[in-house]
Amino acid sequence: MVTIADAITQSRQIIQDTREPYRNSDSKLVGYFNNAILDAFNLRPDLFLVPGEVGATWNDPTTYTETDITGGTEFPVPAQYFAAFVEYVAGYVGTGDDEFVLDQRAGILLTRFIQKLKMGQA
Amino acid sequence: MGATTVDINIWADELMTSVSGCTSAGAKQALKATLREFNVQSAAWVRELRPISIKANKADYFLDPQPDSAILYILAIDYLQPNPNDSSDANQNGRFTRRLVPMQVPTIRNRQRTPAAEPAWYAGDAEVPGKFTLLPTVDRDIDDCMYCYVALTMKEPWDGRVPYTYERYHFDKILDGATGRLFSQPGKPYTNPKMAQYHLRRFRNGMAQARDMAQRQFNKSGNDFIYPRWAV
Repeated sequence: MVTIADAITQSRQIIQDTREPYRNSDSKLVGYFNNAILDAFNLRPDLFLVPGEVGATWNDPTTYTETDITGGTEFPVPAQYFAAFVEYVAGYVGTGDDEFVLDQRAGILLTRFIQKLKMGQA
Repeated sequence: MGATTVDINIWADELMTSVSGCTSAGAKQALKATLREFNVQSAAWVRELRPISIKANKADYFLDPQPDSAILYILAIDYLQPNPNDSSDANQNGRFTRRLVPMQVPTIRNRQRTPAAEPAWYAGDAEVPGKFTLLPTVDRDIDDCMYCYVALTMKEPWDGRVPYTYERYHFDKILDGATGRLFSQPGKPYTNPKMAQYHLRRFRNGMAQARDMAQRQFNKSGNDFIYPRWAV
C-alpha cells in the first residue's frame, strides 16, 4: 500500500530536500498535494470512483494535512497514478523556489502530471 | 436467476488488460453501463415467472418482484385454460395455452367494458414495469393460469453479479461494449475514437445476435416448424 507520506518523501528526493530542517515544510508540500488532488479531480474524475463499488459513487476530494503524513494515510487515488502526484508536488515547489530556481524542471514536472493523467505517458 | 452467477470483478480485470490507464472502478462502471444498455436493447435476460391467478373482476396485476433483478419488459403472457371437464385437474390434460394479445393506447380506449369469461388482451404500464391490466376483466376466479415471460435487468443497488448465461453467451459482446464506451470518453489516456467505433459496432451486432438468441430461447436447431395436422 502506498501512502501520502511516500508521495511527499519521493517529492523531497526530487527537489533534494531530504535533510531536516527542511527548506519546504510538510504542510507546504501537503498543500501542493491537495492542489494535485483537485486538479486530478478536474482532469480525471473517474480516479475518484469508490473502489469496489459499481456505479458513480464518488470519493469527494479531501483536504489532507500533516497528520496524514505521520498517520500513514493511504494514497487516495489508484496507485498507478502515484508518480504523477509526486511530480506535481515537486514541480510546484520548483515554481516557488527563488533561491534554487529550476523553472524548466518545474515546468517539465507539471506538464508530466497532465500528460500522465490525460495521455497515460510522459 | 439461475443458480449460478458470475462476479463482474473478473470481467473488469479482463477489461483493464486491454484499456491501459483505466482504473478498476472505472472499468466496473463502464461494464455496468454497458450491461444496462445491453439488457434494455436486447432483452436477452429472460425469465418465466410463477403463474398468476385471475381474480374475478380484477383489472390490475403486479408481477412478483424478483430478488436478484428488476423487471424490464413483459415479453408475453400465456393463458392456460382450465380443463373444461374437470377444474381440479392437476395434470393439465385437456387444457390449452393461448397467448394474450398486448393492447395499445388507441385500442384501450375502445375496449370491451363488460367482464368476459376468459382473458383476451392486456396492457402494460409504462411507469410501472411489473404491472399489467387485463382488458376486459374476467368474471370468475381462475387459479395459476397466466404465465408471464419477462425481460430483466440489474436491480439497484447492484450486487455486481451477472447471470451465468451472460458469461457463456455474451461475454465478448459486453466486453466490446465496455471497451468501446471507455475508448469514446474524451481526455483519457485510453481515448481512441477510431477503435471505439470498431468495438461499438461489434457490440451493436452482438446485441442483435443476443436478442435473436433470446427470442429463439437459446435454441440453435434448424427449422423446427411442424405442419399442423389440417395442413398435412
